[in-house]
Amino acid sequence: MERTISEGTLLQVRDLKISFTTVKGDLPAVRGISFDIGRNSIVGLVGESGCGKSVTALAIMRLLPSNAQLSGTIDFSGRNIVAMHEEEIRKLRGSEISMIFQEPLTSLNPLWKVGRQIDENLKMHTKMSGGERFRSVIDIMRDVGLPDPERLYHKYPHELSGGMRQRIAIAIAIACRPSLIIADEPTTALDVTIQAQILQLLKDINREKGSSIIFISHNFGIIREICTSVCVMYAGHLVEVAPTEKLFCGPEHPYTIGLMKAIPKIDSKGRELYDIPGKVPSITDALPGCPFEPRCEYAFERCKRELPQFKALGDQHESRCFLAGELR
Amino acid sequence: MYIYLRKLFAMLATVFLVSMITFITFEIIPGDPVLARLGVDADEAQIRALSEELGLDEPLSKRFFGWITGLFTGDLGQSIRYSRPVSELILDRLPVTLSLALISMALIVIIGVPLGILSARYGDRLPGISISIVSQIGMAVPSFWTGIILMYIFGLTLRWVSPGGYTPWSVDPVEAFKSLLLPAVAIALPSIATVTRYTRNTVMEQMKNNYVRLAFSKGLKMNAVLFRHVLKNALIPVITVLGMITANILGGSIVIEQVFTLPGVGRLLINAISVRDLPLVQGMVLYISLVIVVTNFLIDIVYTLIDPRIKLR
Amino acid sequence: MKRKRVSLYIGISIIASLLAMMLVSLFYTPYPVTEMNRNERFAPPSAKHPLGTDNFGRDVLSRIMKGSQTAFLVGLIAVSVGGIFGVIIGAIAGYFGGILDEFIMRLMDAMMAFPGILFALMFVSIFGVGIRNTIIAIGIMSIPSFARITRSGFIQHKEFEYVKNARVKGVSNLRIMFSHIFPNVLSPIIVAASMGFSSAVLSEAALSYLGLGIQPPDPSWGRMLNESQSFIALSPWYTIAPGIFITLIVLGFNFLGDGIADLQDRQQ
Repeated sequence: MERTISEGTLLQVRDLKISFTTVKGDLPAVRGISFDIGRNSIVGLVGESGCGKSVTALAIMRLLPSNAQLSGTIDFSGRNIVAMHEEEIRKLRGSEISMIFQEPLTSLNPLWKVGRQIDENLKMHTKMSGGERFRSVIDIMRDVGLPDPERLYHKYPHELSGGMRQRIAIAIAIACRPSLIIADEPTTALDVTIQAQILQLLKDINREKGSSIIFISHNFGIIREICTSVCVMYAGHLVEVAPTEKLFCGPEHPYTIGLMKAIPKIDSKGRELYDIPGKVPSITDALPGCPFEPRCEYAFERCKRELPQFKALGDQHESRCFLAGELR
Repeated sequence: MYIYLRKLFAMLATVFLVSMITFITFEIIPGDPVLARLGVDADEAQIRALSEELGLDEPLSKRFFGWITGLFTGDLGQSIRYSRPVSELILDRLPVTLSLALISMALIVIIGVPLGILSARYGDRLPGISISIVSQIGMAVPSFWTGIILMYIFGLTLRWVSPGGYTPWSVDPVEAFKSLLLPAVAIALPSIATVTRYTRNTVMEQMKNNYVRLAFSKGLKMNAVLFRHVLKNALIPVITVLGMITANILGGSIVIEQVFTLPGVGRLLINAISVRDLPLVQGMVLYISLVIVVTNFLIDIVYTLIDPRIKLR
Repeated sequence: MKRKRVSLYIGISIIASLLAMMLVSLFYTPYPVTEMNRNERFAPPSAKHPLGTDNFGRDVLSRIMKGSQTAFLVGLIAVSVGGIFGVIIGAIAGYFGGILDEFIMRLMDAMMAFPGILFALMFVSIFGVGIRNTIIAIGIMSIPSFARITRSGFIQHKEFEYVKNARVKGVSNLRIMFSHIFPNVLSPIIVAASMGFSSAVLSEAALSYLGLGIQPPDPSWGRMLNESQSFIALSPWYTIAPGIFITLIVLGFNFLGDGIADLQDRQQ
């Protein structure tokens, strides 16, 4: 899949492979994925636990542990993140690319006031004076919807509610106006009502500050709510990529179809919940053919032997299945 | 507020228990304390006189209360051997032991904590592993042997310090420090090893936390993450270990004072035991254990003050 | 992961070697332990006397070998005594909880307030010196750590399903405690025993060094250090051997304890 970097592309990932070197041998977590993140978009990265989505996110920021091996390219504004020195990627972190983690309580330093944790970003990446930074932090805190920021600045994380903590985490992430924000399941640990607010906040940030967002989740409902396009991962592979509505109205990969079927719908009362038969392959399984083949109801002989290539289905919709386009 | 009162109460309860144990140990268990002091051949008059003096004809509870109130007034009884009040004798020796303890504690913190951080930072590489090995050995070496060896090398062979003995601070501070340095090192060594290991563990534990990942994601360097974020979090548990370290130091000083013949509380204790001067032994045991209990209490309070998560109760 | 086993292997090798030396010493030492030789006092290590001789011309190696008997004996009995009582106390406190637990833990805390050596000194000052009292004193000193570990294990396990099942079936408390819960708590107790052993050896050495522990003619590495210190100017060699062996046996049990603890970690 060859594409030249167009004006609208912020991040271009090509054939990214990530494996971990352990005493048990090399464990491949991501087996060669490629996707684009456009400017001003919110791209969803969806899949079950262990499919490699979090690892991919960490790889973009080069935050993986030392036993991780990366190959392929991650092109960000003309530079390849995979090949960068630690010094170079450090400059990008926090200023051009930032991250929001799943658990707001543990991702904030319990011994620092929350305001200071936002301030640290500004201190590191800008030349603002102390007073300027303070005013800036207050503004950012207001932007993320925190009430009474002057007072909140001096509080400690454990004194805030889960939703407020996550807003602080978001504030930290947007402080330096990054062009890319990676949100790893940012609402999973929150109440449903707070979830909605945080999602709205992220949408606002995307619209008003122009930051692209990679939104990682296993929850389709949320993905549909916030993302402009979606990448579906399975067992370290990317299996389908499409604009959001196209994916939900017309999935073209057996796995995606299965996941859609499994979403409980309001009118499915009385009927059994659908579960995709079989199990996710473990990270150590060698997969010569399509990884989903063992569980696929459409599988045929070729699927066992050969890994399908991406089939273009028009309108930026691609699926990694021999039968893409013919499934429905 | 509440939590401080609870801790104070707990400490007083422990103090009470410790006093009771000491009282029972020294007043009741030895059997007839009078004979224990005077020997089997004492005559009637002596026995009666001492009995009266010790208040042995009084009921046990009265004696115990007398003992407890004596504690508050600083009266710990009279030494048999020296015929002086126990508290006086302790006070005489206190400066030496106290100086020794402070120097040891300083060494432990100044050397142990940085070493632990270093060991955590380079955990899997050579510095980390070699520090681990050295600290294992440090914990295994008996402190009095270290003392003997140090005294031999620096005192007898190189003659950088005088082998044993002590010069009071008031006479010559430099000499005083020199005479306390080697003993302090001998006492500190095993505890340095313990603190190094413990600090290493807490730092490595903290590094697994999410806020560390977030710190890196801001673009901070390893050193900044370690020293600005991780350290304070990691040191809080280390403070709790300081209580145990205090007990180690005081226990260690008892033996080390013997090695270096320092006129401290520990050496007085050993002498008292050898001549069965029970009131003196009793007084010192109580004193040392109370110091430890109170120190633990103070450390606990400091811990409460430092961790903002606890303030809220 | 393989690296973690290193502790265990080192510990086992050291202890096995020392144990072997101890067993050999029961039947044979290069020289009779008490044989004095006026002409060979303070000899440095040589082929004839691998560890040199002491102030009476006695062979140091033979005395070290004999001293290992005391080290193992004291360690074994003290840890057993402390272990048995400590485990029982901790089990009761952890299993039954309530005021009994509070009281026991206060008592244990009070005991732990005393530095080990102080407690032992208290004990011998009342009951006298010698090997028997030394062992008893050290044994009592090790009770609190066993009690604590056992207690936390019992507190944890008594909430588990299998315990609740047993209770519902009407199994007596005693049986639950010792047939059901205890085997599961065994691992940390064994680790504590290993550490307790090294602690006991250090305490005995210190006590004997002070002259208040093992008395002559019973051999003790600690007391040998005391003797050797008086003559250190004449022969530093005599001070080295006992110290090294004390360090070795303590190191051995520490590594052993660490190694077993690592094994447990991995199983979980």
